[in-house]
Amino acid sequence: MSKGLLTAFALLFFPLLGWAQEGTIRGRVLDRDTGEPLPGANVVLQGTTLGAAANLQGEYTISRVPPGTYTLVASFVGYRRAQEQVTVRAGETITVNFRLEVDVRGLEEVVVTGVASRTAKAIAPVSVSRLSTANLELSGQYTSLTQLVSGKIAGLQIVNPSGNLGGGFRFFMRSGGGLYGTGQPVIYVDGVRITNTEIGGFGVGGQQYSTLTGLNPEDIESIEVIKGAAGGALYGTSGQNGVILITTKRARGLSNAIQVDYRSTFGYNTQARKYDPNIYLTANAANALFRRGPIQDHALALQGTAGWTRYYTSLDLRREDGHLPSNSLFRRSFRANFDAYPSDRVSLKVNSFFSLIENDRPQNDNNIFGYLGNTLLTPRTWYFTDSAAIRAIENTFRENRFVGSIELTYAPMAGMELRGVMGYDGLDTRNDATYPPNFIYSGRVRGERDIFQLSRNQFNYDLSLRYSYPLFGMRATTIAGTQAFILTQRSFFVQKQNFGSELVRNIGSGLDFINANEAFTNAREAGLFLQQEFNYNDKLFFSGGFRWDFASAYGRDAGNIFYPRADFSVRLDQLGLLPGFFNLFNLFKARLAYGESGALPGTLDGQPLLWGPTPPSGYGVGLVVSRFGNTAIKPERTREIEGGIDFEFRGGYGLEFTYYRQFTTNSIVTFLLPPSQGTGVNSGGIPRNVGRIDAWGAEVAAYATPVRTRNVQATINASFAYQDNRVKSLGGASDIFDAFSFTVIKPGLRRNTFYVPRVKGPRYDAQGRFIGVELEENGQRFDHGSPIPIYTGSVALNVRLFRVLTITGNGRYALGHKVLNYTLAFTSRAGDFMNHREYLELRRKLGLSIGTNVPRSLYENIPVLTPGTEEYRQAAERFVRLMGDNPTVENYILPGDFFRLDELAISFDATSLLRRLPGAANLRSFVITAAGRNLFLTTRYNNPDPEVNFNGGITITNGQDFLTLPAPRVYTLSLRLGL
Amino acid sequence: MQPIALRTAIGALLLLGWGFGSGCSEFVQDIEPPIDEVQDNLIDESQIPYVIIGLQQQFSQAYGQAAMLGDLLSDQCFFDTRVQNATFPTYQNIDLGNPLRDNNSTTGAMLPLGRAYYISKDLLERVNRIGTFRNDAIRIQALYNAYLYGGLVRFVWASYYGIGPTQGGGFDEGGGPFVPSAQLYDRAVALWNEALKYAQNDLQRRTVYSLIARAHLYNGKYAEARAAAQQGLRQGDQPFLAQYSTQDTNPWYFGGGRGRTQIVVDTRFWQRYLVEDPKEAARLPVERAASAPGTTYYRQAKYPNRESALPIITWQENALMLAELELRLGGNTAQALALVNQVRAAYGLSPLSQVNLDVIYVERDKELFVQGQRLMDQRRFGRWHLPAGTWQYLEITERERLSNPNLGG
Repeated sequence: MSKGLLTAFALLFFPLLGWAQEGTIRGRVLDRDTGEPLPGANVVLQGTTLGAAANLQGEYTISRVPPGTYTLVASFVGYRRAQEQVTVRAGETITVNFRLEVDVRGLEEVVVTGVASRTAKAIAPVSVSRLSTANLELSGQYTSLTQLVSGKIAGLQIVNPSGNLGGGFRFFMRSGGGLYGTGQPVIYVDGVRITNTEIGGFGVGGQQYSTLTGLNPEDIESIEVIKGAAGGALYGTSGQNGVILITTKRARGLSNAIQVDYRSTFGYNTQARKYDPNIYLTANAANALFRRGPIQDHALALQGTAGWTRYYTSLDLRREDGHLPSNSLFRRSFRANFDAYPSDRVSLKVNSFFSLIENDRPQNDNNIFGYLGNTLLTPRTWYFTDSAAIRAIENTFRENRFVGSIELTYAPMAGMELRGVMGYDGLDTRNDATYPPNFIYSGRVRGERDIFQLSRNQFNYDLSLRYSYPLFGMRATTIAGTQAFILTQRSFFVQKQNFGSELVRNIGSGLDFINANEAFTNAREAGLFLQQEFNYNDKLFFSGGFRWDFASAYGRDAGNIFYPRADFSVRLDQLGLLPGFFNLFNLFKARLAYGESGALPGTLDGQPLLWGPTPPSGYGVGLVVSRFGNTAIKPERTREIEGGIDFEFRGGYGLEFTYYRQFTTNSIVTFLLPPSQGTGVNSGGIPRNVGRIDAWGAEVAAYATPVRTRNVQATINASFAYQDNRVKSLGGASDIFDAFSFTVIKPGLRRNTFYVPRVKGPRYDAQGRFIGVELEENGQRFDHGSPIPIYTGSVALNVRLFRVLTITGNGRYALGHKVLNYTLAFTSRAGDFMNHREYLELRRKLGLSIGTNVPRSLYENIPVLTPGTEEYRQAAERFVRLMGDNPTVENYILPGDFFRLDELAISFDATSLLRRLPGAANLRSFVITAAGRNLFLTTRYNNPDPEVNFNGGITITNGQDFLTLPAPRVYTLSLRLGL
Repeated sequence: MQPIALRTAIGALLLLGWGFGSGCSEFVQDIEPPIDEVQDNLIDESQIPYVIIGLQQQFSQAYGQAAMLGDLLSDQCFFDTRVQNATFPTYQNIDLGNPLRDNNSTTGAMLPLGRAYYISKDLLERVNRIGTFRNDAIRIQALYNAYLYGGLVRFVWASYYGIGPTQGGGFDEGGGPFVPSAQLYDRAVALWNEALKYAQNDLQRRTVYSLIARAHLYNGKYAEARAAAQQGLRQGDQPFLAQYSTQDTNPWYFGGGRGRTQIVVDTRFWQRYLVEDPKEAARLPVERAASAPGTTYYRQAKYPNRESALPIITWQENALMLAELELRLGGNTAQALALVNQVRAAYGLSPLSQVNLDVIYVERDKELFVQGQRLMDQRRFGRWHLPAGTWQYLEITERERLSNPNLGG
């Protein structure tokens, strides 16, 4: 597209007088169904450098066309290309109008199918999901990249473990990868492999800070998701969990030389769903914590072309307060993307992004300073810590982030392309925690100040050669390349207590030193890849290749690793061998792909036995065993096979279906040594390549455009995904439990399934008095279901009326999983918490002791039942189903099924209305959008949000709600102005 | 493309690939080493003192945590959610004598104990491996500490942990079979007898004898206990302490102290003992803990700071052991009374006029306040305070049971 465009510009801006012996072609490019002009559409004469771009009215003119017969091709993003034979005679002007058909699923778009491989989507052999932000009503309502992607890609679940602004999250790609590692995909932004991790800093109870917070979702042009090893093999180890490729906005050579876009958004965050006063005695106190947190976002983007360069710059300011006090986010970001085409053979892309983040985080989760812990756990609120003291705690992350890349493409000869990319992601993060000295905090003597600093640099160097040439009547492509990656991370922290005035917060003025430490990581990865592709007229495609991979995390005795891959796809509708049935389709493609990838061992897993220092102790500083490594450790290996059928009926109805199976072997399992043997300080055991897990699933994406007329357009997208897995073996290692021993990784069961005892019933003494609970099989553990949804799906609707009003909605559902309401469990046990209304009433009926925290008025009128009576027995039967002690926690493992209306937006496009005003002819766009997020939720789960997790996103703990902040509801109103 | 050209191209590519491959291999190994961890082969004679400190540090954590949880399980301390910031269900379960197999507080106490075991064993092997030392004092010191702490590890298993409600014991060999308390006490004594060979001064020797005496006493071997106690610590001897620091905190600080109060002391200390004789405050330091309105709780104030040391054994305990043994072995009651009063006098307390095992039981309760010995005394004197069937030991947790092949793991 680029060369044609450039030519078009050259022609537009330097018009010469038409010579008499040459002809002219002119016409309009319009949408086939709506008749709207398509400004920016390209019209070129195939095989020549002649062409033009359509103006705002969709008109184009190609002058100085030598007489002859040509193929005239019109193309535009999001539309199918159209072509026409024309004959031009000297001195004549001919008119050719095009009416382009919408390419609903971007079948003609080129998608990335692997490192350096790309094909038209119509023939892509792997399932690649492409999300183009042009199709979203992107109007400032997205705080983060994850909100943008969530629910829009079949087979990719994004779990936000809390409603914290800036909080971490977790990607669940397909069945979640293997047994080892974080299960997270590799993410590239414009060729830069970026840091996708969570940073804990000083705890706020369990939630962490996500390094993706710094990215500005408004900058994104498109997101491509390669979901598994079959597609990700050539990306090397870590491609196991898929690859996410983000492309940011670039100048789009429009007919205006400079294009300015401004957007302003206002809105607020608010509590979405209340805690139920029928459940929690103090629900109202918890609900009263929530507030309207204002949102403001202002963005300015400037783009244009100048000679053989193009530029895009944007500036974005976002200030947002959470729906709970102590939570806010302030992001300032700046982007400059620059493209140069110094010659036909060379193109240069420079991308740079800088952001400054300030993120205040609230205390919650498993934490005596938590807002929710102090309002939901006991009938007496602010029991653990005073409310003023909690509000006075400050915990702020500040991050400076630079993401930049230089990409040079050189085409030494026809069909050959050499591409080199250097990418850099540098982040410098500081976390400050302050407990002022004028309040009382457990464990802090006259206040505390903590400072944590982390700097992380990631470099990646990619070099690839791609050569396409005809072979045996096919188009053959050979791809070879190498990738290198370097990660360096340094961090340190210092903590002091005992401060004077709360007005002075310099850490130097703290009287008592508490702790200080530093950490350092350096890791490298490198690989070579080779791939051979054959493409028969975009009808038949097959390829094979491999990656040869190296990493510093492999044990020194492990060497290197090979990952092969192969794939195949066929356009059954194009082959012409098949019955007329296939004429019903625009597209009928079958595809099959196989690939292998892995998960890296931990940075030091491959080291021999290591000794590390003790903390400075009462005896001085000593050495202790710190890690039992394994010098033969190598990556876990996942083999994935995926097959699918994609078809599209004429008229814009289509379906993509994919089935996959993943077989993971050599999973790194830490052989926990018995504590008595002296397990390591850090790893707690010896890592070995012995685990196995199988996973499988299916993904369906369906789309339809039932109405598409000038005045009414409607599109519907629906997706459905099923995923499941079974742990096959841990190689003899003991079962792996989470910190509270609620979920397990155990052969024969799903990964991280809830695994706790089962309640049998009440036990009575001889007088019929309730004396406790009886567990099935003497308290043996049973499988209670997966915390990860087995079935997920989404429905998205986009309706455009009278060309000015657009309504979009996105809903998402998840089924077949469980969530532990540990908040309610914790307050349903003997002792003095007892904030669970029904539990308390039953305790009273059974004559059991009631904590002194509980106001007598709440229960003194409830009659105590007589042991032995039917009523008493019924109360006891019910009571054992409400006990929330650890052995009876089953009672609070609840169905987590939900449907959530994620987004609803209404846009009014006043552009054509305003353009009629004097002086406004150049107005490109004027759109007002009202949007809401998280507007509706239906679930049987009895806390406000079934998607939270008290321990953050990337953790072994899943689906455990323990005083965790639910996601907010968000309302925004924004104005978009384009000149 | 011509076949020859193709072959040449493929050949060139393979060669290039191989070159890149070896380049990759070297590239990924070119990393900076970790800053805080070292490979084992770097530790030679000059590093032995640091390994000894590592052993002492791990054991002080193991001992402090076991002693605190032991006191919680005993009738000396308890857990109550009415105390502000008392929230750990694991503490509650221990307090009720139903510690549960997945109790991560218990696991947390077992981990440093295992590491102390590993390092004590490693020290012995290391000394053997090094053979001749340039500085023999280091060798002697290493052997003394390896045996001393090796014995203490067995003592802690025997005294605090168990595999059944009344089946105490633990491990002589890490990851090995379960060994009942009686055998572990004997094993501890054997190791301490080795330690005596490398003791560098009389105080060390007397300390080890006191430890031997205590292991025998808890094992019911009174005659052997008395013989050892007679060579044990004397009035004025420095106590043998578990040391802590700001960054390696006394477990009481956050378990039942000023850092966070979850464990509080039994009411008898402040409602009876201190009321009956306010001078007892010298050995029963307690202070009020914040709690729900209308309630009163006291916590220990014996370890007020993060770095407060915790006595492992003292001359006072040795004296009380001797007194008890005099009574048990039908010996000299007057001598027993004199020993008890010697201890009392050290705190300015008035002498008692008579002594019997009940008096010893109470004196030990006060003298060894929050020092982790009450659990053993309750069992020895047969005065268990919880209902029948409750655990009198900290239950060896799943973490050990599932990974130790000798326990079916």
